Amino acid sequence: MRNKIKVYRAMHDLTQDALAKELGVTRQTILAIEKGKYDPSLDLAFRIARYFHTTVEEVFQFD
Amino acid sequence: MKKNTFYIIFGLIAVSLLLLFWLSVKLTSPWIIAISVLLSAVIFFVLKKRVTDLDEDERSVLIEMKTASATIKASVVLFLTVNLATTVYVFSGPLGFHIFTYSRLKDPMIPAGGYESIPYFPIPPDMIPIWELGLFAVLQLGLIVSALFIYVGFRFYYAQKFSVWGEDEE
Repeated sequence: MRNKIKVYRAMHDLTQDALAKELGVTRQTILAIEKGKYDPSLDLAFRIARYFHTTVEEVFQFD
Repeated sequence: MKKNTFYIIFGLIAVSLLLLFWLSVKLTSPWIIAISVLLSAVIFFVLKKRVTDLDEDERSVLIEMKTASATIKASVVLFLTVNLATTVYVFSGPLGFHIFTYSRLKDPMIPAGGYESIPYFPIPPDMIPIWELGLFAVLQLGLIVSALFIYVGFRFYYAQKFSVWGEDEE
């Protein structure tokens, strides 16, 4: 699964740590998702999309 | 409770367990260490629930679950291997399949008089009561059976929790 979290983070001028705190997860989790090493749960995927005011399909693309 | 306080308490419990293990050995009382380990496990889980600043999210929970699952799988294989192997060893002697002997001086008064082989178990055994087969081996077999029951119990619990047997509503 590919994702655009890094792009959206840059657009919102957010660090991994800041985004992690906003979403209530650890920085390592954001890093793992960005690197494609961890696929988030549906719940977290929706929270990420909602935080950036967009859709899950826009942030995450299934390979 | 803070995370660091929890780690300090956990460390103290570990050191106490080590001392209790030694005390258990000195007093030849397995109950001391057995009950201490059980109590420590309960204290550990109760205290862990009270930690407020533990960095835990879905990824760390997944890592913990995968680690626990892999550890248990590997441990079960190791446990079964060693358990069954030692059980065979303990059973074969009393049942007369193998003669286990130890050396003893023929005459304690004459050290140079040579040694004789003494069997640990009577040969051939007429009838071996279960308590003479080696209680530890019987206990080990009991542990294997109880592990199977625990697995089946958890299997039913989680299958029910995630409603595997739910009926088709169509």
